[in-house]
Amino acid sequence: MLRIENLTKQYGKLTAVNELNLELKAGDIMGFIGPNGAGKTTTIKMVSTLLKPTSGTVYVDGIDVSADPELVRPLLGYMPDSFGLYEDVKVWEYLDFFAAAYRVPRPKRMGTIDDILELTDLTVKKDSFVSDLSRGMQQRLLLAKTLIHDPKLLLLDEPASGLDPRARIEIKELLKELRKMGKTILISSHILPELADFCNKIAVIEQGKLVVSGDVESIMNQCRGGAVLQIKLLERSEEAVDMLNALHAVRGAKIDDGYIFATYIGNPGEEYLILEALVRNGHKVQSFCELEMDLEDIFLKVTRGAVA
Amino acid sequence: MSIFTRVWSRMRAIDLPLLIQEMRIRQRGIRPFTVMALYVAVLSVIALITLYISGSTTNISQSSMSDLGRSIFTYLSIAQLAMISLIVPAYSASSVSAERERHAFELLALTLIPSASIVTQKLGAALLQAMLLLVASIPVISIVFFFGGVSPFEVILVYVVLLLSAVMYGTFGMLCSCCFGNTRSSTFAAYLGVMGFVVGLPIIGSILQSIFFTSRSRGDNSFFVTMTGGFAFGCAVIALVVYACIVSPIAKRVTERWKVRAFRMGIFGAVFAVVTLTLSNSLVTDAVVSTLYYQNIFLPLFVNPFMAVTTFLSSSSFYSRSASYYIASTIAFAITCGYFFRHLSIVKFHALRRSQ
Repeated sequence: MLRIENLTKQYGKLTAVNELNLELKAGDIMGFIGPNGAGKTTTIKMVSTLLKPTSGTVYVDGIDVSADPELVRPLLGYMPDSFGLYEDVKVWEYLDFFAAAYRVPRPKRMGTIDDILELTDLTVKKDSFVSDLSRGMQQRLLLAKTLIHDPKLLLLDEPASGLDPRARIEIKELLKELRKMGKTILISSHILPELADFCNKIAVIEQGKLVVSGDVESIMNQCRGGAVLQIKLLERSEEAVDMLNALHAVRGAKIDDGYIFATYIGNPGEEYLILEALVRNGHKVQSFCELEMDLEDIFLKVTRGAVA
Repeated sequence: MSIFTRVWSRMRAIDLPLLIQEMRIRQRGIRPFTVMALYVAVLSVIALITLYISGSTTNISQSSMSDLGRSIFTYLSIAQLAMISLIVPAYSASSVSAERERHAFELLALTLIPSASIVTQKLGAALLQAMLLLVASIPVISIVFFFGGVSPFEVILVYVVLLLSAVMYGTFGMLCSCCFGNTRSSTFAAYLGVMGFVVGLPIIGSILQSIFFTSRSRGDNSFFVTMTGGFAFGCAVIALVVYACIVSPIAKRVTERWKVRAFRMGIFGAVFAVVTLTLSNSLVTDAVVSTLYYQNIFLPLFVNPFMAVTTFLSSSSFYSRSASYYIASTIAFAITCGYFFRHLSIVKFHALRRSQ
């Protein structure tokens, strides 16, 4: 559905995006992660035909974006990170404008608007002015506008930025609905736990360069390098750390905030042997668990905090 | 199916979403009502003042009543022109820049509406708003028919000049809107341009006129020949540069439609060049100079709606040749400028659409 090949964008001497390669198949949902200024928005804008790449090619459904932007636009649904709302219009008028602008046939238009409003839970606000909506509702309206022409590929640039927790949860639920509908989505976000729930792929970008990309599971395994065990003892924690470090299946055990954190590099499923060893040595174990690795851990592990 | 049914169904099929959206946004709130009320109020006050001053000094006879009607109409027409020159650039200068300010430009740029249609629909919305003002002024203007002295045809002609002036200033405002990133700068540039049209052109024209007629009195047309020749050369160069720098790279990348536009642009410059080169021919020059001289036509009036309307209404007969020249040339200039500015706006908008 989307193929990016050696995509580069330069502004004078500054390279915003550097030789980026990505691929999304139909139905994929890719979380596009990176610090501020990493080049996420620039990449999304190049895919959406708004920016011309300095070099490289973007294909959407096999069509070269630079060569045939007019052919690509009907396939894309772009949601920018900034609000692009006309405030003096009503919700249905706003959607009606974009439906007409995307050539949704006139007889179907009102039906489509009603369906989209129902999907985004804005039906009760159909006749309200856009300026009267809350920030979260405006963001949902922007997403409704993005979906109005039933695009194949959605490009969502920070859809949850600046929203309160409730509005973020609402957007997240909406995105889950889109996943069920089989949409292909490229979504950039800073709020990583939100992406973790519904992305099957991630791409991490830093200083315009792709650091890592692929399936969430395989990247987690790649980054993990072993499971992290969190252990709480009633006493003699230092002694236990020395004991754990002496084991072949454990690497780099240390105490932090009263807990022992040990990286388990032994056979998967045999972590209980560590617990057995601790008990055998007379340690009173209060708690023993394996820490889950999430997108934030991956992000922190693979990036250095630098910007382009 | 009758022809009317077919035309009606075809008209119903026309989709102008941006025009409708713009009209919705522009007509909501208290602002459009306030502008219209002020517009009509200013015209009413001018009519009353003219009536009061002129009425107190003239006798009640049929001819003096006609003169009074004509002078009221002249003042009202000039006032309308002045207000149109002030209001229309402000309407159109925000068309594109406001989209960029409210971060809606990207969304608009990604729609399937062609660039030419976006510019035309936005321009249409601004001009429709100006037309509303002109329509609102009709009841005030119609008081001149109580006094006489102005024929309905003259009223229609002045309204045509008003409308075309609105088109000229509106398209220039649109061009500024496409060129500048914020509304404040584009409005300032649009007003500067309108000032150039209204004040700058007559000043330049007056300077040329004085030099030109001084030369003529000495029987020397060399200055005129050089001027028109230079203008022709300039037109040809500009047409070439515009074609090479703005239109042809787009034509290469985009579609056949842009190639057609580029071709039209070239034709436009070439026709201008041929016309001015013809004028620079000494025989033609002599004929033109003689006409100007003996008809006592003031050169800068050719393209200035203010002076054209004033001259037209102050001449004793509509069929006065010089008055007809003024009106015809003003209308032609406004149409040419409107076409040219709209075309440049489309080119600029299209380039903007691809290089956010």
